[in-house]
Amino acid sequence: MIASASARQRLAAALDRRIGPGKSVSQKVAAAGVGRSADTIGRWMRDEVAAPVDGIAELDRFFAARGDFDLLAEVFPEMAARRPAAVPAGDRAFVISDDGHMVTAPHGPAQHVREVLRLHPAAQVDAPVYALRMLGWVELTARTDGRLIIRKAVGVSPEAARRAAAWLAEQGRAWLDIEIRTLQGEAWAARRYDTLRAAVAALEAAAANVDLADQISTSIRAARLNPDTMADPAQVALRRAWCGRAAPLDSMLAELRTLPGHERASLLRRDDDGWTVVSAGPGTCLRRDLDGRRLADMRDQVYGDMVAAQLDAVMAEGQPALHDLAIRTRFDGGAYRRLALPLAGPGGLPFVLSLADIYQAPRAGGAIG
Amino acid sequence: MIVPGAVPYLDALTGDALGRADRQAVGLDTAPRLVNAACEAGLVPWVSHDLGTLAAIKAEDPDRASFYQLSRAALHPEAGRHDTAIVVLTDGGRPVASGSVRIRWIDGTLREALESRTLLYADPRQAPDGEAVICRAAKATEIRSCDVAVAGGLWVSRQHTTADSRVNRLLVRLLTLIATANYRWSWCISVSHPPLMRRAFPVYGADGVEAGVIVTVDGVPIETVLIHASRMRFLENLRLPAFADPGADLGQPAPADVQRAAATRHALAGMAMEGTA
Repeated sequence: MIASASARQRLAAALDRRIGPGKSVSQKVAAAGVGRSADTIGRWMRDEVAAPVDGIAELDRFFAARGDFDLLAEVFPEMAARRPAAVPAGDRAFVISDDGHMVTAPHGPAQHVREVLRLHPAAQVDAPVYALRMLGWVELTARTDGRLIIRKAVGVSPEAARRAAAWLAEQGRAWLDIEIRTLQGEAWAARRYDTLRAAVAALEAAAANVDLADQISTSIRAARLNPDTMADPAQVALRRAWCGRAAPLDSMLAELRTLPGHERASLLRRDDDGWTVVSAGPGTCLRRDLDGRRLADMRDQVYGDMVAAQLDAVMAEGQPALHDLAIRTRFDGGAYRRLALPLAGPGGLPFVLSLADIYQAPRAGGAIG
Repeated sequence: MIVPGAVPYLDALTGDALGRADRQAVGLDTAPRLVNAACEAGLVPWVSHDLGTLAAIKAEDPDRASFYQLSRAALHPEAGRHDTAIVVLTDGGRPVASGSVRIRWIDGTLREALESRTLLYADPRQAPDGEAVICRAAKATEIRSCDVAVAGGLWVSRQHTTADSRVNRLLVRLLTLIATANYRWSWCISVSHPPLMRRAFPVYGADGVEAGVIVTVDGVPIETVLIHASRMRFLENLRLPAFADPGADLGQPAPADVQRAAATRHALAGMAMEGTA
């Protein structure tokens, strides 16, 4: 058992940072990962009981397997200061600083960041996350199992992202599986790439996005509503008329332009490259020029990923869905309700007709609906 | 005691409200130096976004923490990460200093917000009947229709006030830093007791301080002062090397200030010469 009250508190704080809604794992997943009950994890998090040493070791192994090597250092900072925590044997860690300079971090990113910042041994911080978020660095972990994990934050330095893309283009064939994790606010969005080209493109897009911070969400709240609760009767009629229909693309587009509310409608196509916007009305979300663009290439990757997942679910269920979304960006925000109708397009390809039921983004062009 | 709901200071610092250059400078230098200064003094800085943290600290010992209207959870159930930062310094796990900043939108002037009590109460009807504010500070009519960062509730334990007066400066710098780095606002204000006026420039790094805010409690008038700083002032403060040194004063004249004063003196002297001729 941990005898020191302060170490117990640090463990509670360290677990609180990692476990829970919107954090890296849920309590249930953590409990399963370390072979304890969720109640036990909860009691450690609330500092109600002392965690046994083997329990802490299990937690450390569990989080290390997810690319987070800092738990022990946070619970026992003095020990971490004396003996640098190494990355698991065989794995290699790299850090790219904001100026694009890439170095290996043999003792792990946490130790590297602490050394660069010249942090006092007693200073408590999730050092790698601090470097990603505050400094715009990129962290790469090459695992012996053939996986490459790249971590960055939404505000990544363009030089760091470009360097990561260039390095990946040159070295990336060595990895069987590439995962890019993006920190947005408190939440991580993870995406796995089957092809090297797609992963490199994602990093290049991240480098290009930084100067467009006002278009990148800092928080997203999403809820699913009953489509029968829609406010606009014309859209209810539209839903009945269009849901599940199959038609050639040209006739779909022609008919779309005659429909009430078509200025707030988008048509999206699903193929092997993910969702692509075929046609977007001028009154759609944030009034971005989206025609012909893939959701995967959107400036705001986390938002794009979320929309893609929602549309996938609509196609899988074959039923209309009404989503309620509120998005805050660094400088602005917006809220809208989107009705998604599953369709069958030419060649049987999945299509979705997306309609903004209510759209409010006061600083981005007034309110609609 | 553990600081409930709090995370280590650097983990709470997002830099969301800073431009890239300032975020880099703060992230690489200012913030680590301030945290190191705390560690060298045997202190650990924490941040919470939950007003319940202050209540929990005070519940442990009534002499701890300082409450004012904006820091009371019962009056502000809406408070959260989006508008609230509480900095706590602990020594051996025990809180020894705390302060908070709340971001508040004001529709009219600051004077109206103070007098109507909408600045300090989510619902002005919660203000006690015997409590009123009369604001005569001229600056309070200039500040209008903007987000205002209201700093207050600064508390430092007696032991640390006497043993190391730098704790107060450290607390204010950490609070200022997170208020400026994490939140967007136009003005930072504090309504304080007159003896604190002397801290306005060297410790708080304020733009100005003005008398004329009178709080009456059950008819008894209490004279307070309005301390104010623009966001630009705080951003300039963050860029000063002295900011990361709790032993150093802010508000000291910069070389540019001295040059400007010299230029003014020469210009006026020249005008006097021309007048004589």
